Amino acid sequence: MRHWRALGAISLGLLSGCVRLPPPPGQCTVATAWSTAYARQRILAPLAPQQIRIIHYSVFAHPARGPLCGTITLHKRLSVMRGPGDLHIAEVRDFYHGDVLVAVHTARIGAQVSGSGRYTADVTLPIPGNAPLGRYTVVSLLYARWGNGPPTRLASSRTHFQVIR
Amino acid sequence: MEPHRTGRNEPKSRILEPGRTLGSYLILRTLSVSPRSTVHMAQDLALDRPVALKSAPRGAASVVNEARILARLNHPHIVTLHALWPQPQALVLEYLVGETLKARQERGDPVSADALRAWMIDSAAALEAIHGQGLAHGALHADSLFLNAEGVIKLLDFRQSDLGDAPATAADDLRAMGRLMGELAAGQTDAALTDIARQAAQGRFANARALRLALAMPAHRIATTTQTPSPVTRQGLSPRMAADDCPAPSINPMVPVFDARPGWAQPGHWRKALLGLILICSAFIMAMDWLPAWQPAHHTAAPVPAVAAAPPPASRKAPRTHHPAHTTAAVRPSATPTTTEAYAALARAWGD
Repeated sequence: MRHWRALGAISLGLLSGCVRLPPPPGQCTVATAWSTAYARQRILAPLAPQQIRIIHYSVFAHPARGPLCGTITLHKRLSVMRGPGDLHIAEVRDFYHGDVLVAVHTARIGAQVSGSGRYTADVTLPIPGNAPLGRYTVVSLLYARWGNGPPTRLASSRTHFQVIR
Repeated sequence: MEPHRTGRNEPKSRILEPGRTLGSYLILRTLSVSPRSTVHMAQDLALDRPVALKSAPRGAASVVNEARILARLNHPHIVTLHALWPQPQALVLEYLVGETLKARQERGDPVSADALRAWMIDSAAALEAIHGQGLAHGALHADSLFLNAEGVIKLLDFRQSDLGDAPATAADDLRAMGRLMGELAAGQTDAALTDIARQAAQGRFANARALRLALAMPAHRIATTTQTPSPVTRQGLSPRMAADDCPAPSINPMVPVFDARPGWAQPGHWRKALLGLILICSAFIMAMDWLPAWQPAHHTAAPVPAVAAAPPPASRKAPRTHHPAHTTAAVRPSATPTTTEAYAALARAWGD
């Protein structure tokens, strides 16, 4: 009867999710990051034409630790006041592993940030199965350009997360 | 005390007593009364034959259980079930003329060794039929073996298991039969029969067929055998066994598989079910981890659309230490191939 008890314990462990089989190497690297658009949570007062002011911009990773083949979600918050006009806003996101720039992502969000307000957005980052372990830094930069004018850096934010086995 | 006691509010119609009719069955007299069952003799007025009505106090579910067991069996050494009367619940059994082995034992009449051996062979054949259906008698004793007027043994009174009782097994039946043989063979000069009874009581026989063959062997061969006489040749059997007049267990195709019925599973089947559940769960977990198709939906969503014109990242700097190659997914020149592949994977996953 002892082996049946052990079998029952193993089955309960499997059912409860206590036992997680290690992922096969290189089997979960096909996914790409998926980002939601900025959604306005609150409307703020508009500014005069050709004017823009960033009140708050932050990016933070949740959870702070992610396993290989898992996911990390970047939560972005942006509070902006802007005036009417042809405004181009670009969000450049740099990923550093240690001091090595490993990935760059650029997105145009001018159409999403169409008016003054408080915005939130999420980005889901799949962690490849062969990603180097350790601490990663995400630097997110906001650039704006009115019409064909020169780009101006509006704000930046930084967050960290750790890739574990 | 009246064992078949009824409550004060027990309706009169639920009580079986002589003179009452159940459909076409006219109850004539009470044959036996025991705490667990009462047996009446009745006349089937439709078919004009005597029958025995067996009922349990307050129509216990054991009557239905016993009826279901008997309905699956068709054997000359097992009492025949004619019907199950629904209300009050009673078994309509064939009417047997004779006495139980216990009554005969108490009467003190001498029993020859050959007759005892023949009874036990018949009983073993009945057990073989029962076990062949995946069932067990569960209450084999001298009171459940009936010797009719023709000298034929009939097996009666299957175990009326209560809730919580462990189900009887074939091994239990064989050991009970060994003990019964030991009781009946007490005082006999047949040492071989006593030896078989002792071995059966110790559980030495694998099944009822082995016990039946051992009983059917001539006495001089049994006396020199210490182990279970499994390699029995046909020449060594008695003429009755050589003719193989003990029919094989009958299988009624209209009745579903016994252990498929709820509450009637054989012991040990839950282990198979648990093993199957474990295998299914393991396969599912492995599939979740190994198959890319099982990744969460947002992993397989469309990648981030590329930006047509990104502003020149001339003013970007590394977070702590500036790295010269920050405009593309660059890696260190000294990085190993493995690291390069890993960084490339990161660039594909997180970058443009």
